[in-house]
Amino acid sequence: MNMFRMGAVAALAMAVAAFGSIGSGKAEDLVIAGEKIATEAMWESAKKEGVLVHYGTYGMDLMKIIHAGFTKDTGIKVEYVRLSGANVYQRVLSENSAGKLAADLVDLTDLVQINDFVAKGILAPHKVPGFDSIAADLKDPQGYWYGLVRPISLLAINTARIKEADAPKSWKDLLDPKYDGLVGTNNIDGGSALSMFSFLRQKVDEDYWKKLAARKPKIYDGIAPLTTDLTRGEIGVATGPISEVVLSQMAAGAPVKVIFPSEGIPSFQIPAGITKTATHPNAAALYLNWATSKRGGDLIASVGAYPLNASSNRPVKSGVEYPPYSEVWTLSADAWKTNADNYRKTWLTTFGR
Amino acid sequence: MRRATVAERSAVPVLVLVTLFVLVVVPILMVVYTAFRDAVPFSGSESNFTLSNFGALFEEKTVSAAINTVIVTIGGTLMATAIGCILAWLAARTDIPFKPLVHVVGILPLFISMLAATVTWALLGAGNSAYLNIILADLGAPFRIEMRSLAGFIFVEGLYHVPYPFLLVYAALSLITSDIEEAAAVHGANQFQTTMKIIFPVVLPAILGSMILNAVMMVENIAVPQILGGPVGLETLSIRVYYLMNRIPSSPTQASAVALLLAAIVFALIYAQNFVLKGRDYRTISGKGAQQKVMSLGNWRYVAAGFVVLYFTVAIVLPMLALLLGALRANAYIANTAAMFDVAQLSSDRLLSITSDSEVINGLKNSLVVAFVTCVFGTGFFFILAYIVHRTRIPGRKVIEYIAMMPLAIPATLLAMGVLWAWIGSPIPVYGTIYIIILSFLPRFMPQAFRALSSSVMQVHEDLENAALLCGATRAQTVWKVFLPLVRGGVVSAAFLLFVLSLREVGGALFLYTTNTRVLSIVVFESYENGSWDFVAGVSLLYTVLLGGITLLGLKWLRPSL
Repeated sequence: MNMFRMGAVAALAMAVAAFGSIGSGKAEDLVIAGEKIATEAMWESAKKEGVLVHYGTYGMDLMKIIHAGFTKDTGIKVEYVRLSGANVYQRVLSENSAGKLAADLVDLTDLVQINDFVAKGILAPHKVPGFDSIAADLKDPQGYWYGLVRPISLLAINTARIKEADAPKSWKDLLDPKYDGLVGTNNIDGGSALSMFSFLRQKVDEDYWKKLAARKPKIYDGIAPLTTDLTRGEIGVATGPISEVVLSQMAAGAPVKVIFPSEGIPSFQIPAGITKTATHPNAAALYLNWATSKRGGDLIASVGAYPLNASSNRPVKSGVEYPPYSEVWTLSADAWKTNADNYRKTWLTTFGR
Repeated sequence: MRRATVAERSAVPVLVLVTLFVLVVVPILMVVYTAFRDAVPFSGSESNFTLSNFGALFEEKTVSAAINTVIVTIGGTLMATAIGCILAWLAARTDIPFKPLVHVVGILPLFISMLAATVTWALLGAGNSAYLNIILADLGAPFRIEMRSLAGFIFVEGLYHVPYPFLLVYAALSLITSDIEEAAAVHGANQFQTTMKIIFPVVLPAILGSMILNAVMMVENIAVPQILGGPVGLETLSIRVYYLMNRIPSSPTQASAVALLLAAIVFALIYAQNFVLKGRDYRTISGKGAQQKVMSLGNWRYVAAGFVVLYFTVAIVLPMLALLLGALRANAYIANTAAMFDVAQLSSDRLLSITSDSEVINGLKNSLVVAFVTCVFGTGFFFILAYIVHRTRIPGRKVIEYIAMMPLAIPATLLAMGVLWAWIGSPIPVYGTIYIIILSFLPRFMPQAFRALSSSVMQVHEDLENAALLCGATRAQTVWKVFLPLVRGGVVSAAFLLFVLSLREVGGALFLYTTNTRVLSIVVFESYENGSWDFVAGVSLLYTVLLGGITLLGLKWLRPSL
């Protein structure tokens, strides 16, 4: 036996030790760390399909890490097309009505839009193994979609502009005139900002928007310009779904710090569902099973977002541990449907946009 | 020799017009149709006729946005045209030192996408923590610069739209024979009078053409108002259309309605241009030889060179240094001038890792394929169109000129949707392939390429071709052997323009790419949206080096050697 073969056998042995099921020759259920992810039949069919086509909205860098974990556990590759929420919505509608929908799995940032997909018959229901233990607000009652990934909004400061002792500790502190000219936030565009502003209005202060608008914050179109201005110290404090970027800048040595405000943190769910016309339906179903398992949840948590499986680890990024699951607030689908339009209109008027 | 039959003679024009219809008109018609419907095509919803989309035009904030748009467009166009014309004249007609480099300076800004240029200028000049303001503060200067203002908008737009007037005016200037200038001199005109009364009127089509092109591109630009205006609430019309497309719930039907208004403005501008140029003769290349006179600048040579260096520094060197700093620094916080150049903060790891990143390599491969095919097919096709418009008497040829400019009025992502709607239902299986991206780029860049080719075609007198035809050459032989060599400079410039624009385009590909057909600009755009500034800076830098290299290699062909 030459060295190459010996190496290959050793690698295989390690793989078997790690996953138990891979390489054992005969087909089995997919079981990871004692948790059954998929039946033998589903896993075998998924492996035959070989690939999963995912249209989604979550950042490329972070999604790649999650997808790599899925591929490592199941052997199924993922092709990811990343677009903004508005673009995923239009593209899926167009492709679907032309009979050319290429995606097996779609996610976007708006619960009204995902429910529109359900109403138009674009999605197919699938119940994951832990269906009943998932909170009712974070899934479709029939299993058409699941809020697989939940990024959060929080506060972050630039310590060169604001001393740590002077830093805001709560959402209410942000309204203090001493921060005038230093505050930056996102506009109410996507689901993340809508969730954050809903939280501020419903859970912190009914007049929070008016009070914040009166302090004339700088309003940014997207995360990139907001976090760039925070890092370079053009603003002293930023609010929004910025934890991932701020924490990686902090790890790179920038004088920035995240703050989990005392009133709690709003998260927003990125709802994902399987398409009815999926060419790789088993791969898509397997992905949902995996992403809602403890194993998939641990990986989602490792990039700094809350997963659906509450027994997963707490999100940790750059050594900063996030608050427990119980402190995370999520806007429900019903509240979304009732408030979204009205909230967006009111917000634009309040902030003069 | 047998004379070609009517059918044979009309075969080429008919084929060309059908191609134009399918490539450009159908996607535009899809957008026009959408402006009058209450749901977009292929949305799965029933759609009905409506005029309510035009209500978006009468929103409260639209008026101030429209005023800002007018200010920025006029200011930016004047600035770009002035700089572009001066550079073109220096490069084409004077004895300025290092002349070929002046040409490079005139086109280099093309390589920087408006997104990268705007982000870079935000870092250089927006707010007290901007690089230039940090330096000004440490120098004790009493003033700061502020890019987050209408003046800042005008500055960035004006700075990076210089290549269009430069390319068009340069091509026009290099095609003027010195006969007419000498004639003026013989009649007692001094150099200034000759320039104003002889040269200026002859290059007027090129100047007006580039002004219209620039004005419409500035009206449509999104990066500047989004990045510089967003934080301070300064809006233009384009950003309002962008919100209609990208805010949730998005409204492509209303965006289409606004695009129709913009199209009407473009039509008015082209009509005005044709009115100004009507009844004049711009043919300066004839069978009488084409000697070119170079004007001696004397000691003004150094002033002129100083001007070129100044423009080069502001438009290219400063942003490149900012990009380099962005690509090499681990984090974006800079306390003072000393910290800006602190070597301990710099590392080339990230920059080097980009060159081996598989996303970047695949993206670059796709980009090069798209840019090459768009460039080759586009140059050939738009050249034939320009020839038909200016050289034949085919009925309806003037309409082509209006059609050619229309894509400018339609925001990139909306035009890409039009392309999607046009092709997704077609039996030709291009959707989901790399060809759909090319099909989106061709109409998108038709205005730029068609303009560049038109102004060259207009300058050549028919007598040369007529001579060839009289000697028994076919029309195709005449164009290939006589006409094309005369306008080589203009054609190569247009091809180059198409290549570069295709390499950096984002909006036209957003709706149409798949995992396997991601182009490099999409990879960069995603990184920007994720907030990885060092990656964006690094790739933008490599982009510029790559394109700069291509230009230097192609310089020989870029300068028409008449």
